[in-house]
Amino acid sequence: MFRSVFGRLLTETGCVLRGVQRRPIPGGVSLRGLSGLKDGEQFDLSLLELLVCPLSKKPLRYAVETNELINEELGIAYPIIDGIPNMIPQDARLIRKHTDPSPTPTQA
Amino acid sequence: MSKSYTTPVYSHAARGDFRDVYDPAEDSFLLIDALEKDAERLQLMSPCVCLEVGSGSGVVSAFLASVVGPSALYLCTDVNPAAAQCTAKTASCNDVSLQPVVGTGIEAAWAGGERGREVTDRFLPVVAQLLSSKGLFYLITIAENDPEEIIRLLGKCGLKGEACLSTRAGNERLSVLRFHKS
Repeated sequence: MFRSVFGRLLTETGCVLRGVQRRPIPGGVSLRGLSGLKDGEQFDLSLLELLVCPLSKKPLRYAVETNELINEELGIAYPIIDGIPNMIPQDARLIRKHTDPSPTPTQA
Repeated sequence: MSKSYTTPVYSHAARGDFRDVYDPAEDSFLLIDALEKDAERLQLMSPCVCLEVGSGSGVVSAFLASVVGPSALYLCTDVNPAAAQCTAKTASCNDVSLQPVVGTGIEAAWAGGERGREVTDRFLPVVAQLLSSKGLFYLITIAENDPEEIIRLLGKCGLKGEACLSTRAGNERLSVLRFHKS
């Protein structure tokens, strides 16, 4: 998992670290005003510079509508619960249909 | 006289919903003591990103955040989803901003997996690549982890290390190792 977090850092160490802007977020304020997110559960977009898919090691897309981190290539979506990304592949949602029915991933 | 920092609130850990989360113990506090000892150095460094691997309750990152302030991103990773939730609560209880991230399986959550080195052994080889030229890496060890071997191993990767704080807790000899780029 840790390789997943640091995959981007390994290739872009200096640039990524300098590019991460910190904006202190007071409790309960949603910076983007999205109706789907509750207070205190906003996702920090600067994390997209640091988190990669643990399976493919490639960058992820943040899906605003479902509040997930998407790996388009592999067709999987990692949930973000209470503002906490869950990068466990077994907990990820499969986006594309498969012929075999798969068990629904359990949510924390 | 150096400034003294308060220990973060963590009474919610290891009970209720967080009963599976590591209750801060001697190792957590030794790590906090080491960071407190280096407080001025850490403040002058003004890091962009602080990463904790195996954050548990989040008490160590919460302490670091109280020392360094909100200018840094505090990433707290743990294989235990309850730990991630507990870290979020620790952040709000202590009025700091932490970013928990959930990792892999719960079996490896306590004491770094088998031999206490599973997580560390995967992580150590990349530390040298992650650390900036001014960065610092702190590692809490017990004697059984063979801290001298860890110092030798990281020495080969261009990281200079030393035990910056040690103590005895019960049967364990705990040491905080600190590394920087040589």
